[in-house]
Amino acid sequence: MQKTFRAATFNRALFIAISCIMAAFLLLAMVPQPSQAMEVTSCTARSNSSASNEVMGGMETRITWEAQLGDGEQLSSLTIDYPDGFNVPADKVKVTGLSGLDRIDLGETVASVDENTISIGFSTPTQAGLLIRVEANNTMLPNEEGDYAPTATATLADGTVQQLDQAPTFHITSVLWNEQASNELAEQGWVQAWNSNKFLHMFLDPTIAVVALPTVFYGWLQALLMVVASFPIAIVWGLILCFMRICKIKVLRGIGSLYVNVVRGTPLFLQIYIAFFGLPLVGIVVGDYMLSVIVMSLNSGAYLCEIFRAGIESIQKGQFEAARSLGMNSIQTMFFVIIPQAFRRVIPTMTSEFILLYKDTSLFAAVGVMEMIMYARSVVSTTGNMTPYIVAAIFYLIVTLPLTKMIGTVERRLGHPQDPGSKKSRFHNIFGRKVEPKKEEEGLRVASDSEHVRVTDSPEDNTETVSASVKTAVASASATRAADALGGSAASSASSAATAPGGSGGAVMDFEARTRRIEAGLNPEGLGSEE
Amino acid sequence: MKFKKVAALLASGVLVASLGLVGCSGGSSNSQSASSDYTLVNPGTLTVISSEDFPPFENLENGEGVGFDIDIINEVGNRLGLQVDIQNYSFDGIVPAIAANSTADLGISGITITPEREDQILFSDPYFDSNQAIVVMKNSGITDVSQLKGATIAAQSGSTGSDWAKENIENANVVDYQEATACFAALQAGQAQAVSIDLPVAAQNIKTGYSDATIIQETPTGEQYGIVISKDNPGLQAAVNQALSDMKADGTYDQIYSKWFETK
Repeated sequence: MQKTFRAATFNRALFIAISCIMAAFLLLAMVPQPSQAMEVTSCTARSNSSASNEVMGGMETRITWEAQLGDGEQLSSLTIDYPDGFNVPADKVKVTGLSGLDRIDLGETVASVDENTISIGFSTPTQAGLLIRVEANNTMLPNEEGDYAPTATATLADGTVQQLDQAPTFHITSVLWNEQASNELAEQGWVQAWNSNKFLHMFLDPTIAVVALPTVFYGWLQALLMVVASFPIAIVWGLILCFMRICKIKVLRGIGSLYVNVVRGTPLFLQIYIAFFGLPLVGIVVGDYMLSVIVMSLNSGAYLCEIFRAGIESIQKGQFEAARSLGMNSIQTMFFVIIPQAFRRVIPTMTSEFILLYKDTSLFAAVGVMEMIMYARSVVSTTGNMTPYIVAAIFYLIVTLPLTKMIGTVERRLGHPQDPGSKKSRFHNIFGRKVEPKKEEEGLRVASDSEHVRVTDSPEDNTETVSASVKTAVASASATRAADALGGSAASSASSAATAPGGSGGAVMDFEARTRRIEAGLNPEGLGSEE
Repeated sequence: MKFKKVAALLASGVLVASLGLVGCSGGSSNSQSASSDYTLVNPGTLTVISSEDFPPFENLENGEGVGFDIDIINEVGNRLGLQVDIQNYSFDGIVPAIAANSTADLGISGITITPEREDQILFSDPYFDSNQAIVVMKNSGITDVSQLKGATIAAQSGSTGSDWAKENIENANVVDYQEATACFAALQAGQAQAVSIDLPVAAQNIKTGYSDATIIQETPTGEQYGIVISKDNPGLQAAVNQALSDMKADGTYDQIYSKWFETK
């Protein structure tokens, strides 16, 4: 009993062992089989969209199909059947054999079977084990969204015909309105005539302009966003630098001057390179847009600093003196008297700086920040045509032309005041140039002084006590005494004006101007609405 | 009296200027050399543009262009009996510039022959077989291209490397840089996770400056470089092709090849 059982188990074990070995043999025999068979390794379509990596239907593109021959397999012909709706021109098909990284010439002939099928023949069967790469250039795609893949049949040198597995699919999206419009434009007679001129084709091709339009518009928004985000920061930073440069502390002044001179003395391009490629190496990692905003602010701040400094220094010394004599401290003088006046004077220069900064966004293309030039370039590099740059130029002008016009208007209004309501204009223009006052205007002095009292008397005014003293002074209705209250230096010229009202016009004017400016300085709201 | 003098001066000035102009245009139309039927931008000189940031094909060493392409083009000029003047140009501007046929006669800059480019310019016969590569930083932990899904890839603007990344890496954010060297700077600075560029250039850059980067994929594309010639100048294409095949026949090409690359 025991024995028979033993024999049975032995038999069974033997049977299992044998079958195992046989299975192993079978497996061994089968495993090389797939590796021997020709196998499709990849199939991709090149993006034909200038704006994204997508493949658009209804347009031409290149389809790359790759298959690996097994060891000992030699290919003698190949038929590739692209999906319906594809149009594959046989003369644009390129076939390459690759052994490892070495290119092997195959001596192929490509023939068209029908619109979407090509057959490739080789004069002699190919080398074994090659990677076969078939590039179908200028293939017209169907304008229907979906996933597509070609099928292929290979005939090997030994005569076996293999139906290859379907290639991996690639996705086609439906065509965009602008690409469609571009295609339609290209068929128009006038466009063809236009493009037959080399220059017009290179720089003003309407078909490419239409394609570039949305892409460049997107870049325009990015550039605008960059400059709108950085300019306010630059203004604040410029003011800080400006205060450093004019303050009494030597160290701060030195640091301010050094910064401004270094930043203004080196190209922005270089600063961008250092910031983008240098900072990450020392461990400072900031996002692309953030970093570009920072670089632009830091750079523009230095220029704005000098603009503000020039503006502040253009304000006559008498303004400081007069404000101080009213009891304002230096900070109050700066914020309520000097800066409001200086700021208005530098508005045209600041606008120019804004325009410069806006145009400078193009420099960030060099470090891969997607701004307008970068988007335009992406179309240029796919089309080899310069038209997108012209489209970008137009988008730059959309911002710069109105701003330039605005500067002109502002300058004209400040420079040639014709508005009779402009009080400031009577005595000096925006550039601080004195305008000869007429003698009969002398009477205005008192009128304006009383107006000054009225304004400064308002509850918002934080120099009420000062105003009160001025008020008292003015109440005495004597210009000379008012001047006394306002400050010593003014007093001397005022008294000379009083003693010789007709003889010394310059002194009178000086006094007038100062009175006017103090008024302006003490009343920031009035300042803003004055123009 | 005075007015007459001024008028006379002006008139003679205009005359001289127009003579000069006529002389100029005469000069350029005469640039057609007697022995062959091609035109040159500057008579007697082969004006070549190249983006000299693409070692070992072309890069600047002490302000002087060196590299495989430079040697090839100098040899071509030599065989045509012309002086060679190589000017540095941005890569994506070379094909449009040659198409416009005014700044230079030839472009050589490791430019792959593609049908899109052939629509605009003529190519010489291929003079180099190339492939693509994907480069990452060694410490990035990326070992396979499939890990680069959605990653930022640096590539040279208008290059086949840029195309390859867009076509083969899923959702890749391909950032085009003007210069090949900027791609590697961006990789090192962490602005990009990988560089997609021609294999010989990748290998050379890693060898010389970016030893902390590594090639994770050598992509066989079998693309071939050609010299770019204007469509208006088919005579020059024939002359260049002749020079190329001559130098291949007499071994000069192999000499130049082995100077810059390990022989196949």
